[in-house]
Amino acid sequence: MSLVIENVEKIYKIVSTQTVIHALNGIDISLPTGKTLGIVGESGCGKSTLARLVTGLEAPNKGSITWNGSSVHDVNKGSFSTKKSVVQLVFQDPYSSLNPRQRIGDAITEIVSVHKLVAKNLIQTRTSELLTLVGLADDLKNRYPHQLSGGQRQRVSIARALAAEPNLLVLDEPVSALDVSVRAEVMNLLIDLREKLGLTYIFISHDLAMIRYISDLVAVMYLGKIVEFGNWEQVINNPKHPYTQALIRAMPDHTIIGNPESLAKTLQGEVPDPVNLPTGCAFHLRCVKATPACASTPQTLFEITPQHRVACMEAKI
Amino acid sequence: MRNKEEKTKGAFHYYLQSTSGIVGAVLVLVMIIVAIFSILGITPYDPVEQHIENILQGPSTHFWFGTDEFGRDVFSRTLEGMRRSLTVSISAVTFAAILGVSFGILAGYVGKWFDQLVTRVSDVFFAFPAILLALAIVASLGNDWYDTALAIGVVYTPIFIRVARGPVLTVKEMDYIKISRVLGFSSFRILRKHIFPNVFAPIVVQIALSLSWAILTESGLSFLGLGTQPPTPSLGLMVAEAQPLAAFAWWTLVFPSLFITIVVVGLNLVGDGLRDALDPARRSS
Repeated sequence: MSLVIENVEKIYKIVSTQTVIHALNGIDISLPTGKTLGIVGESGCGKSTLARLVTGLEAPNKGSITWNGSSVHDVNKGSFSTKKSVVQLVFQDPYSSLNPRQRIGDAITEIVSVHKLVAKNLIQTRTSELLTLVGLADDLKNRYPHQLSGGQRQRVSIARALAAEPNLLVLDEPVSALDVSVRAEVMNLLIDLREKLGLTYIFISHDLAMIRYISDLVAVMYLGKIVEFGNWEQVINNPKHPYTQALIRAMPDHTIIGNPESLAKTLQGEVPDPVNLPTGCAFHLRCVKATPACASTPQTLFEITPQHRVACMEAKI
Repeated sequence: MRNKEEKTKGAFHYYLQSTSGIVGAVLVLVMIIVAIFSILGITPYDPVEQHIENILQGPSTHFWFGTDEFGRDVFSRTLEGMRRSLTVSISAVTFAAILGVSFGILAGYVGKWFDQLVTRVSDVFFAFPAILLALAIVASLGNDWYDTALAIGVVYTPIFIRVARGPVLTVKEMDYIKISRVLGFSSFRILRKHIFPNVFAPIVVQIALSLSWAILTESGLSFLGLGTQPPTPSLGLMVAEAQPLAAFAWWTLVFPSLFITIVVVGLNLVGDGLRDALDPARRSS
């Protein structure tokens, strides 16, 4: 029982400029049931592309993504499929995630009735049950999305995903757009739901604090590749890849105040253009530990300790 | 907190707050009632009956809008003409809206070669001036009212394709559409339940505006002699027939022209009102 992502590659061709973007490059992850995988990285590193592939919205150019041995793309064949997937999705933007012309209750009953998940006379009961599950009052059923707050909308998005009775929930920056005060509530709700329903999560974020709060496993992505992967304690408390180290240093922290040295060590430069990937290790242009060899040797993940893999030759030594 | 009353306020409530909407609705409603009178045969005289003894009489208590050069009652003929104009333009716009919106939504949603094809074909239709294209179609079809309606309908279909397609391109990129696909909804359900309601507003406004243009086009065709044929009255035909008489019998020209103006202005105001009522950003709260 697990999600297995094997050697996945995703390429986007831009017809007008005749260029090719390598969005994902050789992604290999396996995630046991009931665990949470946190994926962290800068914008454009391929986090959201991975989310679209895992939910079956798009197919990989190479490799396979399977849940309990069957491909997520067979259960969910793009736009003409009428089967529900075992993988469901919660997006970042609580405003664009809900149909503005559909009442909250209708959005949830629609899923339950289209897929005939409960007997007809129990549909309304099921809807109330789902709303209660995510901590919303039952009388919100008749409201339209614009009458709810951001936090409430995000709870509705979660309830809607749960209505399809998924095994795996892909959470693409689910709290990034929320007020800080609401974030913790939604994070706690997600943790409660995971325990209660035995869900498996993929939690995508650029915020390491959120990742640390919810994840069992952490994958750090840079330019379409995983550069470090392991248990959260190992990755966050003992980061081996220079990029992970830079990300952790960039976390706002009380130690940074009055400590100009720590500020100076934050990451410099921009993410390279994914159309023209740098040779060798993609990170070498911004890496503080880069050697001439980094510019010519591509790096692959290798295990430094059990359950902790890093793609950096400096970490090997 | 919002109270219950506020929650149930629909588009109709907001429509009633728009002055131009109300004025437009009243004007259009009067014209529709007038047309219904004509359908029910409640006109003072038969619109084609010739009162030879009363040729070119000015407005009086007997002939409210006067009589034309054959002694026919201008008031009865105007009502009958309004009925024709409305029948033709409503049929034409219904045809154009159903065809255009279906193709427009599909083209926007499906994209790729189908979108290319639909867009190119409608571009070709757009390249012709509306009245010329309608003239060409009527000339090849015939002079019955449904031929005119079909011609005007074909001419206005590309407008509905454009009006429907544009918003679909925006809406289909929204997260709730992607989520609907992950939730395993069929394309038909996504189009009907999640895309159509969100592109509905501009289409409704376009229907009101197209009705007014269709009335003008119908009048134009009749004026040019390719729409309604004499002796059946039509507003455009009455204006054409009144042309040589206008200098000494102003009523033959003024009343049908006035009715065209009223219904066109009314429909435009209704369009404005609908736009205000259906666009949440314009609602004053």
